[in-house]
Amino acid sequence: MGFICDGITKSYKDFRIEDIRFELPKGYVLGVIGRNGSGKSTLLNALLGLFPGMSGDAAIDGMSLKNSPKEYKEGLAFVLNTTPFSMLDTPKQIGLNYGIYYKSFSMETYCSLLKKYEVPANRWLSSLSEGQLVRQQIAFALAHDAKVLVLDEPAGNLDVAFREEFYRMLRTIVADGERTVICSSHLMEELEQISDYILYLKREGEVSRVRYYGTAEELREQYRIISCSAEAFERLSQAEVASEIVGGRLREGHSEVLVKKEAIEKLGAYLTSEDRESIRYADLKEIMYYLEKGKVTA
Amino acid sequence: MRDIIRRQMNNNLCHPLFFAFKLALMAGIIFFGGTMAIPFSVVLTAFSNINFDTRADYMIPLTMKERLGRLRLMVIYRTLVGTIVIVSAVLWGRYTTISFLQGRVKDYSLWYLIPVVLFLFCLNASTVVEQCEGVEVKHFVAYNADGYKKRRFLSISGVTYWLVYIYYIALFVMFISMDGSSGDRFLMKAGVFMIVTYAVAVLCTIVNIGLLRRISIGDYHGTETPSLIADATAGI
Repeated sequence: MGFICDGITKSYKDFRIEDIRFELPKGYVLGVIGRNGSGKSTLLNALLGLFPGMSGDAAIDGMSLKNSPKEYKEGLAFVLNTTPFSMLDTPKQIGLNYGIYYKSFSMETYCSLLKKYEVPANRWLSSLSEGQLVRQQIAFALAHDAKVLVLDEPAGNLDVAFREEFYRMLRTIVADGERTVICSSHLMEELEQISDYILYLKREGEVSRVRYYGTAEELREQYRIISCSAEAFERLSQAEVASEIVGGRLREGHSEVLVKKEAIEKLGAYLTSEDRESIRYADLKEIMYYLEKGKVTA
Repeated sequence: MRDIIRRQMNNNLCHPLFFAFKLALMAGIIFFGGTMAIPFSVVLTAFSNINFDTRADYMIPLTMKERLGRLRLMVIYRTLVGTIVIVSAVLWGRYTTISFLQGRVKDYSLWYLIPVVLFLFCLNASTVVEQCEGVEVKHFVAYNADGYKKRRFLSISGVTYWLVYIYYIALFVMFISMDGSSGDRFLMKAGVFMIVTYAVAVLCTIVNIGLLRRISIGDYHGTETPSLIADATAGI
């Protein structure tokens, strides 16, 4: 069954995420994207059970956060950009102190993973590097055999070499088809490489909602980028088909527009053969950028 | 001040080195009191296992009821340990220091200085008072979305917190002006002050436990991921 997020709504004084719903099958990676302030971390904190008073629910293999919080959290692991553990503990102490709360936690596995990830077991967290802090969390997550890993900007503090290894590790984690990863990141290219599904949160005013949820492939399939001249850009913008343009960038020499795939035919009459040849798939970063910004002048 | 120092220097029971040592120690206690109390905190934390002041504490598989139960136990436990630590520190420290000051101990060997140092250190264990008074409870309740209850709670915590620091300062003043004959009086005053402070702390603990019963625990409002990450779209 995997992971279900069922209508989560969390309100702050001047901001709320509203009715977030998705179902993620086992064995897949979900990338959560959106601008800063779109509620990515709020959503992940909600999934981690940090907001008992929120509306909506989440469930892992039928174990609901509201009805079976212990079982739900037993199946959940977290890897956060800022360590959630006390900086005055050592990784080993964390294993001893927190491991007892998880039925399936193995201290032996935890220590061997710490060793494998080159994290000193007996030094205070405050003396570890950012990368080591992330690796310690991964070791802890894997040592209690979690079914769902929630990762909030995990790679932001990792060096390039370990980041590559980290993403490979994520693919390995889901490879057995039993685990699921939910990951938010601002590193769009990297997220695009590892994500099977995309949850795109878009903030409008004080409310953030799901703008898109589905496979990354389907999202990319929906849009095309047309590279064109500035004149062609102006022509398109003023024509009756202007509403078909999702977003675009006008600049001298080289402009581009993001359009829905279905609109290509309608726009055809306004494009030169050169423009038509330039039509290509948009990547995740471009889709998000133009959906957020609309038409821009660079 | 000069008179006090001269008196201390002339006092045959107060070797200049010892006096300097006292000054340094007391200054250290005042300014780094919290740091010096870390061993106590570490021991206490090791026993109580979970502090409920980090995000991980809220993500472990425990129900709210279990969490509250553990929290109450921890506050009571810390109160008991704090009582034992402080009472024994006062009694032991009083005995050894008076012996030292009254000249029953004639040399300055480390053996006799250790109890004095430990006494001062244990005085500093009044930081334990903060533990008893419920720093963790403060964290826990601070997450409540209800601002009124949060403020009410923090104001109670704040009183004890400041009492502890006033206590440090008073100790410092008394300790500097102390000589052999007034040593006993100083210790009596210090002891009374400590007991009063501690009584307030225990009272706060009781109030806090009472508050916990009535407060429905709200959301975690702790550290969010710092907004160091550049706008995802800005770099395009």
